Amino acid sequence: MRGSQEARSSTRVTETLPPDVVLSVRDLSVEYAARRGAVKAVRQVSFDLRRGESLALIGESGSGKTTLALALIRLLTRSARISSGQVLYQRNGRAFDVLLLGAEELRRFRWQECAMVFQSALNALNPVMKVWDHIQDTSRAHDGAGRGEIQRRAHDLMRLVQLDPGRVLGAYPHQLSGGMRQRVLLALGLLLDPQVIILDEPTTALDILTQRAVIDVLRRLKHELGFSMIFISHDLSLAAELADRIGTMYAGRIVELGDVNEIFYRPRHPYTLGLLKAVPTLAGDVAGLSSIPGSPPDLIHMPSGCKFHPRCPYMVGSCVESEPELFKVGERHVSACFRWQDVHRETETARQ
Amino acid sequence: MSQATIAPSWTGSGRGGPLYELGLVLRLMARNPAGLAGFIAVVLIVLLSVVGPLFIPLDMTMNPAKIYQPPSWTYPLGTDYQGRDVWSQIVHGGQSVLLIAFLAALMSTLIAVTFGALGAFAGGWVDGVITFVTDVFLTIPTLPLLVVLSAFIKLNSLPLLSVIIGALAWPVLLRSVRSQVLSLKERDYVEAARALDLGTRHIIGAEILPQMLSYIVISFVLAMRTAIYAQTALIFLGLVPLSGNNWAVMIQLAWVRGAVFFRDSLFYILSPVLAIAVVQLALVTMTRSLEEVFNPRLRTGG
Amino acid sequence: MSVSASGALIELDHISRTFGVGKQTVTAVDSVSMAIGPGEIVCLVGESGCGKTTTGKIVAGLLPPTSGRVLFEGRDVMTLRGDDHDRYRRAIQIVHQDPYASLNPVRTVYGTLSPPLFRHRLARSRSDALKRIRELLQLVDMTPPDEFIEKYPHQLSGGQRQRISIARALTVEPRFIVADEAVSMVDVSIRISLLNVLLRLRDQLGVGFLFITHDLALAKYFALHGRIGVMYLGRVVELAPTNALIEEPKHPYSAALLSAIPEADPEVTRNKVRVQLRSLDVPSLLDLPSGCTFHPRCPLFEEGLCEVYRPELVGIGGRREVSCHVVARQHGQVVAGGTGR
Repeated sequence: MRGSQEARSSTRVTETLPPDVVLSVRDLSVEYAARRGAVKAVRQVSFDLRRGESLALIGESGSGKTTLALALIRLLTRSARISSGQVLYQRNGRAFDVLLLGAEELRRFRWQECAMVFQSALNALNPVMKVWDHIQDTSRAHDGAGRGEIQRRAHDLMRLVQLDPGRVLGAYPHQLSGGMRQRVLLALGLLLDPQVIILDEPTTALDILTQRAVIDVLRRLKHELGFSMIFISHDLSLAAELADRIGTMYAGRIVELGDVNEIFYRPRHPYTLGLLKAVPTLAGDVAGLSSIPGSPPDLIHMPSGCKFHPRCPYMVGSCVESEPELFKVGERHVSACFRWQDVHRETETARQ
Repeated sequence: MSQATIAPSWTGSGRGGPLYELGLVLRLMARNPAGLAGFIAVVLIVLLSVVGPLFIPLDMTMNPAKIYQPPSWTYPLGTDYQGRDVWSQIVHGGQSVLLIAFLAALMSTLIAVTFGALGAFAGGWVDGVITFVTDVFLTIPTLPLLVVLSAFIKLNSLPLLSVIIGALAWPVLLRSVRSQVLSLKERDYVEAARALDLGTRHIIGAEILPQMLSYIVISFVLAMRTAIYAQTALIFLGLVPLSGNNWAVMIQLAWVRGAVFFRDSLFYILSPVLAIAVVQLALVTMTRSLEEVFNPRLRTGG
Repeated sequence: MSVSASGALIELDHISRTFGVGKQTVTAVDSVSMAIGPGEIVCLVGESGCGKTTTGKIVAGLLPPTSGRVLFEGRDVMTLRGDDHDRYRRAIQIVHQDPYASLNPVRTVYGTLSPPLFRHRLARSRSDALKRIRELLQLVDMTPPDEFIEKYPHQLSGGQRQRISIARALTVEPRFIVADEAVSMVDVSIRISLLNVLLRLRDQLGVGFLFITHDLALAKYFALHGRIGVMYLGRVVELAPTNALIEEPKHPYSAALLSAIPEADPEVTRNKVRVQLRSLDVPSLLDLPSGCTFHPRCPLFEEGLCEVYRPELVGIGGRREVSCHVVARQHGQVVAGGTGR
């Protein structure tokens, strides 16, 4: 059946992770080399992912969320460099650092332990291969399952993502709609029963009703199969639907991290608050809506201190001098802002 | 956004005079050292061919005693089959080559851009006719045609040769221009220009063609290269009884005189060959810098 | 038919637009009728393939309809000549979706904004043009204006480029702007500020808008005092004032859309009741269902009626129009037989 690769003892981590933590990212930093200088795309990001938990990384352009996701499974381009940090992965009580895996172990790690589901653009799938070929390829590359077994698994997966196997397995990518392709990509990700799935903008560019179908499928799958999920998006409403925990990212760092209700109803960072106020809802009032002035910083020449300070209504002198670390502001809730209490106060009074 | 914006006049800002623009162009080309070297080489060769003849007279004295002399101080590149200085012939031979190439490239580029853009923009039967004519020309085998032509027309005048070469080179460029215009036509900003009622002339001249400027200029330079090859081949094969000073004619004469068979005459035949080769290399290398000049993104370091 | 057309700035009268795809024809827009008054905001919402962008281009005069009439100030645009035609062309402008494709990359802001000023003789010299351009940049919140005049598009952020697009539309003093997903490709945190710019144009200059979007929450914000039209497979299935539509959608497709939208509020969105449709399959435009094109998916489907007769857009009171046999009947309107397919 599916073999699990023994981690080399050199990559085994001496400290132990809490038993229910599947992935622990510590101080991860990624840099790109550009003509004008080094682009600090991800800066000292740390978070834990528990078993069965879904974490939403929300950020806009330049926040570093996509780079972070690619770094977790080491799919970055050659011009990118992981300059520091660890990505600790735990299975069956054994933990190892993904960043130290050798080529073969990394290959097994990807897809068997941790799969990535990309956006459903036409070029996410090979246009000259049918869906069945994709499944067969992926299966054969990672374990030696026989054809009959692969077929059975393929049918199961199609049904899991609410696609008709008879119709979809024999189709080419361009014959499927965007929503169907996204679900095929999801099925491919689930093929080897990974513990962690990373999804990159899973519902962007999809129509409303298709989006709904994908969200419902994801929710059901998470419930039935129990995997942990990290999804990156700029869409707060997606986080509201699916996330257990949310991390908002700005200029390469996580600026706030907490449970979904904490983030939505008791945000403690000005950027999170700004995002919440900038997104109109059908149910909500239009009166309180406002944009965040300014634009994201240049990732090569960032402002001093807190990178959000040029756009922040709470800015004071200390914000320009030093960059705040993540302070504990609640139960499993951290925020990188010196004035988080003032932010908290504002949301409390607004709710009165 | 941290660097000053540099905006040449054709982009609509019109700041800075011609000297400023020249300095700007040179600075941009310098970003690609090989390209700048090519550009400088081209400039030098042009200068040599245009100004040189005014200072270095053509050696017309025939001196049988000085046949096929090796290079020396008096004869930097040796002498030819009639004892004449080769160097002066090289200096005088460039004008004709470059002029033919320039005229031919100009003609083919003009035809290709005008009709390619027209066909793509007009569509309908206009486009159909242009495409058909282009296809016909594309299928004509050039060399055999020229062989046949040379039997009927005496291709011994410079303008005539330019026209003939130019007339056969435009189809490929036209197709490329046409397809680029077809795709540029669909761009959002072109649609906005239509909504603003800016007129076809503005759209083609100010919205579409400037995007293709780098492509057109590079194509022009490469067309010159092709024209030089074409005339060299034609003259060498004896199809074009061109007289006068011309590097290709020098090669043909040297060949006919059997200069390849004597060690002493090597410089006589190699000089024009190398001259042509250097020009070709310079032209091609120069195109590397041209991209830098026409791309605003590269220009402002954004 | 449509709401009373007196005083309408733009009116679509049974507009259709078909495209040939090989031997087959695709009907992108099918018999759409709508009247938009001066300074009015109408949102067109729908999923991909519903024809909203094509309709927008027809309204903007960039695409001719294959049948039907477009009326400007009550007159058929095909009959306009000379000055009248010029006035029509200038009166309706467009702002595109993609900030990276909407501006000519080799022209500076000045080079993009000055040609329409010169062409339509709204400026006679460079200093004239600069003065007007500064005003326009102020209007779209690009201050200080002089900082941007010599910039190229690639030196501007996505939001800034969209503002330049808007400024460009404003150069000819339009009365109406078609905004085709104008904020969809811009960062979430600045969408509202862009929409506020557009709303201010409406308040200060009386410019009307046709705002095309797939985001109903944005539509609610932007067209708060306007109307929303829901399109499906080339047809308008419902047209109503914004609040009325959002509170109480009449057409089952509108109801399905509204209930399907995820909201940025966990309590609300996790407890929302979803309208279930009979099928998730979206029919291909090459092979449309008979009668009411929504019938294979519609929870209100009535056999013998919905797949045979095509419903028309009828008024059901309160400036609301719906294209559905069942709903029309509930409101005392009979869609008399209709034209079968």
